[in-house]
Amino acid sequence: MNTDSIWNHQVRTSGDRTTVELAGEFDMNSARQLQDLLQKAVESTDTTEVDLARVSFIDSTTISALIAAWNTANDTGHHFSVINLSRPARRALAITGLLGLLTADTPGKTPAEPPPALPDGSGTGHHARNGAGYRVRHTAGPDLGRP
Amino acid sequence: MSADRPLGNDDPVSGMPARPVVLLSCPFTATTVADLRHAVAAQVVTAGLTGDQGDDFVLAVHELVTNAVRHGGGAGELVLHRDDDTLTCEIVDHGGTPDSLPVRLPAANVPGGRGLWLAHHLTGTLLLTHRPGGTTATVNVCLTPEQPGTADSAASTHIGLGSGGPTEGTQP
Repeated sequence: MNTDSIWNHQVRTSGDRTTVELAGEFDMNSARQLQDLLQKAVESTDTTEVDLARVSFIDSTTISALIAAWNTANDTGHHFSVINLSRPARRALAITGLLGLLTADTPGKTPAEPPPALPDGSGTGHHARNGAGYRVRHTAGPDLGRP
Repeated sequence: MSADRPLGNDDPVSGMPARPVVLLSCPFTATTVADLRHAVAAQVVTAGLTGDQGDDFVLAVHELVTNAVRHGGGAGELVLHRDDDTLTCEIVDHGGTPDSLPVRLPAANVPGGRGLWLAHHLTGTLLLTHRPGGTTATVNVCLTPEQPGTADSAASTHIGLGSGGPTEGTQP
């Protein structure tokens, strides 16, 4: 099989908003192209949404491309998020703890309301967990977990 | 995990447990990663592992194959075999042995480093055997009978490499 044929994309730009629709399977052989695609979108418009409705497979290299684009948006004050997550995409991002980060808007602008205080009273909007070296970002946005 | 279960495929003559049945054995490179993933997925479904549990095992195997291609010399061999009710996949690479393997989940805004963590977390079992010429990564899953309504359950018991899953992945 030609590994290039298992995924495709469509880019729609309207004003300052770009929607990147992805479809198919995404792995290490598509990661570089995906990253270039997303970086270009993030750099050229204020708001980038990546539609994952027709994505049937993503892996850690795909996640890396999404995070890289999120970082670029965050660094440049732009907005980046994933929308319409298919079941495989949602599961992979949920398991890796990135569902909240990638479905919420980037903090390119100051949120209208501060994050709610955490049960431990720290109220910082972040907490480290079990010394595992990762953090889960809590925002005041909608419930991003499973329905 | 199969030791406590009655063996359903004993050799009818000797009465001894049947030997592992090799379901898939093939070399791979970067260009065959997708084909291999499809082949593994087909065998996993045939073995009775469906839904999220099957998808999780396929993703775990895929991550180990990807790791072998990217960090283990660019190529390797995959062997998928079934021993009674246990499905085991071995991914053999020929890369150098790294000083340390990143099995911990990185911070959310760090792009890479989630492959081995996923392989471990999705299966609850990840054995990395360092050989003189490379590394063999092994994951397995118990082919438990289908129980409707438990598709979201973890593949097997999670052991403590690194930590438990993130909040978002473990909340009901």
